[in-house]
Amino acid sequence: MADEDQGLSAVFLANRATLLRFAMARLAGAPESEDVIHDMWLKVSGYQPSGPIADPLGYLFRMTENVIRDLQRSAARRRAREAHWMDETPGMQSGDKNSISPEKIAVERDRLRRVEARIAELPERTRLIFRAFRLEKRKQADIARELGISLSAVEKHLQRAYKTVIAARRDDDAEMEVE
Amino acid sequence: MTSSDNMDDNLTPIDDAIVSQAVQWHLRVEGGDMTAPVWQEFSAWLAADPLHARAYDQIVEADDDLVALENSEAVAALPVAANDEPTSPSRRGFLIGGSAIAAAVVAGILLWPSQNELRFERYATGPLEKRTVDIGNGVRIEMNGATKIDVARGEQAVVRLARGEVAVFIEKRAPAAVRVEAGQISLVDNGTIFNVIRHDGLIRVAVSEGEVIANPERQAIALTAGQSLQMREGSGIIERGVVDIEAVAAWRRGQLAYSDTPAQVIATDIGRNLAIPVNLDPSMADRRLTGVVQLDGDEAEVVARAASLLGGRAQQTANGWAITAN
Repeated sequence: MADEDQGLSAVFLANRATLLRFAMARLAGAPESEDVIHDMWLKVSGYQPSGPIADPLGYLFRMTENVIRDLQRSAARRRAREAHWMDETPGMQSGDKNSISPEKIAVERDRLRRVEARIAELPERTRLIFRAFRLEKRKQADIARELGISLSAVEKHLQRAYKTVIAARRDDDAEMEVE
Repeated sequence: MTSSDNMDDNLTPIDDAIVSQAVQWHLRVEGGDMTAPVWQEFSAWLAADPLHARAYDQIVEADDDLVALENSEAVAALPVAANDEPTSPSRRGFLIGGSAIAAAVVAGILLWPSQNELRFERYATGPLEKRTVDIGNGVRIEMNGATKIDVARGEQAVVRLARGEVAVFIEKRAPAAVRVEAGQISLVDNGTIFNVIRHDGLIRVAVSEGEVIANPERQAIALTAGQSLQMREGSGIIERGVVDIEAVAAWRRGQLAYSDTPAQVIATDIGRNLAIPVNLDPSMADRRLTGVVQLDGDEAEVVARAASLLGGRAQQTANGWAITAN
């Protein structure tokens, strides 16, 4: 266990620059990239994998991606709190997840409802594939085999579905801007 | 590439070709088997143009919405499907918390299509209920409590584990009699007995006899008796491990058997088997257990037994149990 642990740390240290480059590209050059790498080091040096890792560098890339997403989500939550500062008790800790006001819930609920309505307008097969891939977390190859269609056809449906959600979110932002 | 106007970052639509590439990358990342060289390619694509990172961010945010919608759906189903929906104590942050409450309102709007080309039959067990399903071809599925599977019989039967725990028994030695799918993990047998758990965002597979191939079309990981793998859903990271053969599917004998297992996994297992939330004091997260927890007796006894094996004690809480440090 200790050997593997050191193994992952060693791979991290040998590829630190590569992972930093990835973080910088991923965050479009934002200064948080260094924080991401620092965070990674803390995780890697204290990490105990339950078994050998087949592709340690691939694993570290994926860990970096996860750290970046966590960072972006907490930044988004912070922005949401600041935008609705009147709902909040002053001095509230940023990590408090139970701090949802009824107003924020209503806003978020309405927004999600609009996204959902847009998905509902997609053709049935697109929705079926989208659901299978993203909600049931099935593999594209499995979905293609089950439906008897090509892998690229599955991808086309998924492309369409994601673009629909993105468009719904953009329309929503535009509305907010007008308000 | 057009240069972007930074004033209106979220409002300016990004070139469709870039969005398509970003979706493609998202599909690969979520597909869960990117190797290091492919990650390098992804890194280079992101670095080529700041718009690439922005497009990718939009996809990830859109994806978070979908996960929130999925959770709202799951929570909405609770009061109706009382027979097979255990209460899930997990809440994953603000978006989920909000949408959980939104569930009652939105759940009716979106009718996901449910029919597939393969003909699936659904089997579900309630909390603490056990059930055996013979799916033909010498394949038998034993379901633990609070489990939901979809089964398509046929030359190669397909069992889709939506949630819970199953032990799969294949009597004949013909390979590939059954394909078990649990999220991003597919398992094809090679004459075998194996156990699959999908609960609380974690997929765990353990083999007690014969051989199983995980994700045969991709990584093709061979698991033989005494081997296991686990994957946190959405992480795309498969970890291999070893397991005591006797411990695999010990739940059928009313036992949970562990070898060097983190305390959190044990608390979650106890909760899943008793169909009640069992929380673990974070100060005990580093503890590990090798041993057997008997599942007989009432809830209080079982939790107390597990707590004492972990060197803590059981405490009743408003909605379940907590294992706290002594």
